[in-house]
Amino acid sequence: MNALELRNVRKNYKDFTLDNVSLTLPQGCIMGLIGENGAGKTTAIKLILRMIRKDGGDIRILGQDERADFRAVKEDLGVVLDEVGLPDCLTALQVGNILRHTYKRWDDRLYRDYLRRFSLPDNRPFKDFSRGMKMKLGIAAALSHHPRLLILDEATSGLDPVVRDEALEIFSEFTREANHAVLISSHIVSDLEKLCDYIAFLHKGKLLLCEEKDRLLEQYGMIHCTQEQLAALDRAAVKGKRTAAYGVEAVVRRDLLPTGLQAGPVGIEDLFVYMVKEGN
Amino acid sequence: MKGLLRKDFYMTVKYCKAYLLIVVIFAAVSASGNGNLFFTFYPVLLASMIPVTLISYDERSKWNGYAEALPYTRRLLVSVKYVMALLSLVLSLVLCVGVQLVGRLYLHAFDPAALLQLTGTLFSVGLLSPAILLPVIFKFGAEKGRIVYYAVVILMYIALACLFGLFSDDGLPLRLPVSTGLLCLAAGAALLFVLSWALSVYFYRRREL
Repeated sequence: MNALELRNVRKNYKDFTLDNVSLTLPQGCIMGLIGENGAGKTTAIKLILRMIRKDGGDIRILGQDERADFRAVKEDLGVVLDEVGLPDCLTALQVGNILRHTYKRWDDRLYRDYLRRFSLPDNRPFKDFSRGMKMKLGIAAALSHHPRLLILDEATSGLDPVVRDEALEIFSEFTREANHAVLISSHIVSDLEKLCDYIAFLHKGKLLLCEEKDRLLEQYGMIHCTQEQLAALDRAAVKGKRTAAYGVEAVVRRDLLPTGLQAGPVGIEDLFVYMVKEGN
Repeated sequence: MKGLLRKDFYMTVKYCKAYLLIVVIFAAVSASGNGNLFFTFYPVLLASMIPVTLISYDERSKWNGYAEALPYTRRLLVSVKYVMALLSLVLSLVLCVGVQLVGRLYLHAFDPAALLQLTGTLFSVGLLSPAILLPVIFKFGAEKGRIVYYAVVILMYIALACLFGLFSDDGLPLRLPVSTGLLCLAAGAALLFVLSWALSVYFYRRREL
């Protein structure tokens, strides 16, 4: 069973369309949704959580389609949004008291363990927390009812490197259980490159690709050549290029390169940036 | 719903302390028997606005988005604000009518029919303001709904002024037939409250967050 499946999901706004997005997140995996600001990452997540209505397509969460009782589905979801969304006046203890009466499988001990692990104060109001502390409380709340699917929207942006690393480690730990999965959106590609098994690129509402990270790194490479050498290549091989005074840097598909031409490794960030620029 | 009620209780204690203080002071003044019913009505009106204030704070903290991820339906998210409206109304009513009762007993002016009439009127007025406001706020959000909020407050004051006109010079309500006028008013307000809840659920289910 897949943790999450989107099939031709569409959402139309006056000035933006999320255009037939299809992706599959298998259980036990982490998928990174990468895209610039306004690419449609948050729209996709809002559609998954039914915060907005879709104009087409199907979404299945943990094998359940839209006819299933969504309340029961949400018992298995842990969600951290960009703005955590907890009321400013609440303390971590009060948040725990509320969620204890919200989730059937709420685990008070686990929640307290997370609060200790994150060094979060029990009785300080949420408004007095730093951005990193707020996010950590959001993560503790999202994990303490034993969810099976974590959905994280820009949950690491704005965090300092130490806190970010800590958060990434927790998400990685979470997927050690075979029936757990994580969907994480971010425009900080380096975070996702470290963490994810699958990568999906969104650009201007379109899904540029959705692939296993290791396959992507195998499939694509970077070459440094002259304009003439580039022009001689199969057009389908070139996914993006940057012209400089000394020559051209291009992201290419290795399988479409002529024999003898070797491509060096390319990082996910470069791959994304080159593809987006080519798309523009 | 227990989790949501708990959250709203914490927020009410934190954000609505001033309201609660005003309710207590006004209720105490109204018991002094100065005949000015404004002091009796205002606390009830104020308390019934508590859910509106809570929705405002919810929106400011982006709670609405977070709540969508919790195992609640939109119907439940709406219903909890109506429950809060009822709880606030009942508490303020108990306080206001309680001090009226004590005050009138002390002044040897106790009249069960008048007190019943006052209770019914307070109950109706207390139901009307959230009944009118909440659907607007669930449709447009607290910010846009604020304009309607002020309009409703002004209209309620005008309505109250008209109601005061029904009262006799000694500050005691005229004896309208309890079985007809009062019951019609209370039943109408209760019906409007239920219709308002259904309308809010309808609006909020369709709202994109």
